[in-house]
Amino acid sequence: MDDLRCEQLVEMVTDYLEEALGAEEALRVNRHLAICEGCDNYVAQVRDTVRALGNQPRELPGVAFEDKLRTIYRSWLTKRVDG
Amino acid sequence: MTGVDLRALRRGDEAAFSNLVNAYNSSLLRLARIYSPSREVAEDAVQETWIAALRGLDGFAGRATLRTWLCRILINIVRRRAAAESKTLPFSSLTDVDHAAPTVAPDRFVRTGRDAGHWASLPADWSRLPEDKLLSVELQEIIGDAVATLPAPQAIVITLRDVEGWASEEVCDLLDISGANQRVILHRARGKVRAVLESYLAHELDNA
Repeated sequence: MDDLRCEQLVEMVTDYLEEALGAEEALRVNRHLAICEGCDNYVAQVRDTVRALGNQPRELPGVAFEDKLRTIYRSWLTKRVDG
Repeated sequence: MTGVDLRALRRGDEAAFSNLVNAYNSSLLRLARIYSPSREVAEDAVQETWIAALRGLDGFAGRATLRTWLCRILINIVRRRAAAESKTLPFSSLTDVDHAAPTVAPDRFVRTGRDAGHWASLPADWSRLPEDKLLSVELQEIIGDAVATLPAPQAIVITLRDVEGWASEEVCDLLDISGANQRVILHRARGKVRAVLESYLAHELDNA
């Protein structure tokens, strides 16, 4: 009987979530998750971590930066017309 | 990407440029910060990127996505700067990943006997947390700090994949690495950030 250890599963979790495991290995993982609360919680934690990363606030530049960008654009336009 | 009209941009429509910047500036800044922790230097690199992008706009054929194209420009700028300063870049070690080190501390698992390799103490059930806990400003700061302490290749991959939401293929294309290589890097990065969150949330769960 195939007995996947939790210590092995945690190192497979990224391939698992990326659907990069072979069908057989994915099945082993799913079987294990169905009976192992620890690993089920662990995989959920990884999913939550990914979700939380996706909620990182946008990087906002300072006002000086936005002024500089405007200058960059206008300067480009000018060269374009002349060039 | 809605709202970005390259034709209008080429015609001199400043609103089109605004839209372009709004769409991609945050991603470029985030990426630049990984290479240069100094905000000033990072903003400088992003400005140079926009200058180069406008200059090269006519040559953008749409083979790569716009954001891949922009990020490539940024990375080249950062590389040129690093070379000029005789610095080695994070990317040079992109394939140098420690495969051996586990992402979960070995002492979390039973070491001997019939249950060897199984959890010694179960990972917590985070669904027990208050709903808004994972969205809180404090948690986001902790995540941001965690990513900032990652080795650069891990910071780059986890930022592009999980923070910015790029597809695996796009990241591999930009960084010129294999899918397998990318997954190993992502695996290590996620492992570290999860561990940081676990520590932080352990307190919250004790009080839940």
